[in-house]
Amino acid sequence: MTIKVALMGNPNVGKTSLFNALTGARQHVANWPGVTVEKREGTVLHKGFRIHVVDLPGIYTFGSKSIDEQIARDYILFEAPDVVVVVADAVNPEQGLYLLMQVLELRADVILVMNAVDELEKSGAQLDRYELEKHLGVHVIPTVATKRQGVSELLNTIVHVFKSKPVHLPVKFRYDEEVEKRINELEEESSSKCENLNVPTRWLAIRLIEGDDVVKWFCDIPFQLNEEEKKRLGLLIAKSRYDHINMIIREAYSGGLSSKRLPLDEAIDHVLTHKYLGIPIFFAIMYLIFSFTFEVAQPLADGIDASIAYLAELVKASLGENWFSSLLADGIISGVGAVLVFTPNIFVMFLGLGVLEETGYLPRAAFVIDRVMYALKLSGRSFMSLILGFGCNVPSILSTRAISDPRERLVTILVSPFVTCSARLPVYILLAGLFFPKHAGSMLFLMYSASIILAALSSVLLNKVLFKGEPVPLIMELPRYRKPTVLGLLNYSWSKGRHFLQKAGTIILAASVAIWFLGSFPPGDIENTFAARLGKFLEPIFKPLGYDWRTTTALIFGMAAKEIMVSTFSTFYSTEGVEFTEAMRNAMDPATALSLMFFVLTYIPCFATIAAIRSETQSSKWTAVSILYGLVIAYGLAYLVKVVIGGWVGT
Amino acid sequence: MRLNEVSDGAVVQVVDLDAPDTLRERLLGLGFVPGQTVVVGETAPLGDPRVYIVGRKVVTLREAEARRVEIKPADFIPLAMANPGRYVVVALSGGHRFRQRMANLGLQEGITIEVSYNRGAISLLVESGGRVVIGRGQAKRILVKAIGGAPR
Repeated sequence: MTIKVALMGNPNVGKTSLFNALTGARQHVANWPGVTVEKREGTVLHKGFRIHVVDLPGIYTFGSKSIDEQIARDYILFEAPDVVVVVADAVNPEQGLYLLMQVLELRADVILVMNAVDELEKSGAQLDRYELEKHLGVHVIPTVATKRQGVSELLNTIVHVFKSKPVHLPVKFRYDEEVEKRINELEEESSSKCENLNVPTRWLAIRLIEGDDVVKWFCDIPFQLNEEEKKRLGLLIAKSRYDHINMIIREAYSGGLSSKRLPLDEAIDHVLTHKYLGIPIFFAIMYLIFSFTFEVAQPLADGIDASIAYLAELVKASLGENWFSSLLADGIISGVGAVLVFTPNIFVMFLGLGVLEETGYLPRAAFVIDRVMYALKLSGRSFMSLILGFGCNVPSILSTRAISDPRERLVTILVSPFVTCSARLPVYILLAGLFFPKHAGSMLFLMYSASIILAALSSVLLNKVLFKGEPVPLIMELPRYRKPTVLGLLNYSWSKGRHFLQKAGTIILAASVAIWFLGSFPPGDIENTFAARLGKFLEPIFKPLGYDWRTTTALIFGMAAKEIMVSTFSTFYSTEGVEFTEAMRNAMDPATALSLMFFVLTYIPCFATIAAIRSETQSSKWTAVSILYGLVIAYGLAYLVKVVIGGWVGT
Repeated sequence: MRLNEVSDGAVVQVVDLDAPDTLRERLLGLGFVPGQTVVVGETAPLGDPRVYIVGRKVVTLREAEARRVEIKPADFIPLAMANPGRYVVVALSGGHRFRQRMANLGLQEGITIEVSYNRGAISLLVESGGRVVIGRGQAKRILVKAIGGAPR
């Protein structure tokens, strides 16, 4: 028999640790349908029951104001979980209990988990769980999720609550007279206006006052509540809840909960968010993550690359030169290699990101750099992701999982291909060295500057078009600093990295085989392959930019991976007795070469990035938008550069 | 007065929220309810956002959001901001060791003190009659309430 359990709670209360402790490695990470919000599910067998746990997004209120809240609310309302577990932080219980009180207005089969009781005890305070149970009317389980403490008791209680339901009606918290009067009126109104109501009318009335649009799911006729009334009564409701919570805390806690923040936390924060040191420290940590991702992992990636190449050679050597061995070696093995070569970088990146997230530095980083990103209508959270793009766009897009606001996450994903990755560097170096030998360095600087400006402008533009220019809010909590656990880190990087391999792997593999096919058939003369024919076919489109069919073909291959362009140039421009560089110099003028550099910067980054965008947005529409947007910008910009620079050189 | 108008280190009390639905519920969920004491923390290096301590939760708000919170100066202020005068110690925010150290100086919750001067370091008289000088860092962690009466 299956028990559906929903896990709710504020962000940073150890909900994910508890989820990991409950389900172990048997978990599945995907997105909630239609949005870029992560959905984690897992199953655990306990006492003959299959307990299926869904980790809902971390929220502060059981409302509808953000997508996270809507997901959590809709899940509780419409997916009918059998048991709801609300996780609160034992050290900072107020906001968790606030959420609990909102949930209790809807249903009674709720379990309250007070997590991190070890930290509470360390601070010298004690928590009387039975006192909490008495006041709240729910089972209370103290846990230490990182040490799996209290987990089996929680599982027992889940089974117990499941078996013994329905026990009682939701506990009724009384508000001020004025509020109660309005609640009664609205309750009466709803019984006439709404048919087949399967939620408590009291809950509905309170949600109405708090300005939730949920009521439209249940009632056809709108209610009359003006803004002023909603605001006034809403504040009264919130105030009564906190008063009640403070009363409960006074009764249930003994010892020094009154002491404010941990002095050590305050000291660390003072340094990490310091007026002068904050930003240098942020960049130093960014640099560490960057070099960790791209340098420490690089030998591993190179090793994989070399092994794949060796394997491909081996296959060719043993099967001989024919189309089958070529399919196997150049198509499939290289395609699998193209996926595998990313794995070290991605897992190492998630490991680094996991450390930042688990220790609690990530929100501090966002805090320190927020002002810059606010100007771009984003928040500090997207900065880290975009920076990673200078190494490779794939980990950059994957790292947006740490961004909690779905709008911001989407914009960051769409913008990140403009951050020029290291694979584009060989193309710049080749072209800049060939056509601007005296100013090659300045040209590289120009490309990196253009990349940053493009990403910045695009994020403002996308925000304006998609979200009417509303800046992403940054109301976040700076959690207590924590020591990361090895298990937690491995879980973090494994569950997130695996998702990429599964989802993006197939697309990359398929695209690699397709490119192999275009480049190898029909066999024989390279100028006669489908790829070359496609290049010739598309040549007229690129005529205004001054690209011939060879360059066009290189751009086609460049969609597989940018560094391939260099070898494509050498293949197609090589003729008897003439270096390909010489041939290229004859085929293009500097203005064309510069426009080509801009084209390479902005058009389709590579299949792996496309695959990452597809798997992270879970939307073909946004993937298509990203591709088209890139192509349009590339063409427009390249044309502009060609005309302006060409004209300027001409005069 | 609005929350964005006070300086770092101030201690204030929430009076009202002048925010659209969306923001209001979020702020309420984080604990910004009328009557709640909020300690203003440090500003980010680039001037925005700023840290606010609500109870024991550390929350960041941008200026645009802090502007929505109507406040008044709290009854309690950190000793570091106290002008010369008589005060009652309301809370010592620190660990066991900090409290012990303060107790050794004669500083405990509930005792009356008299601040003689405040120039970075703070000189004060404690109930038992002893004169104590406290550094600014420690003085930030001692909450006091003014009780009027001119300094002796």
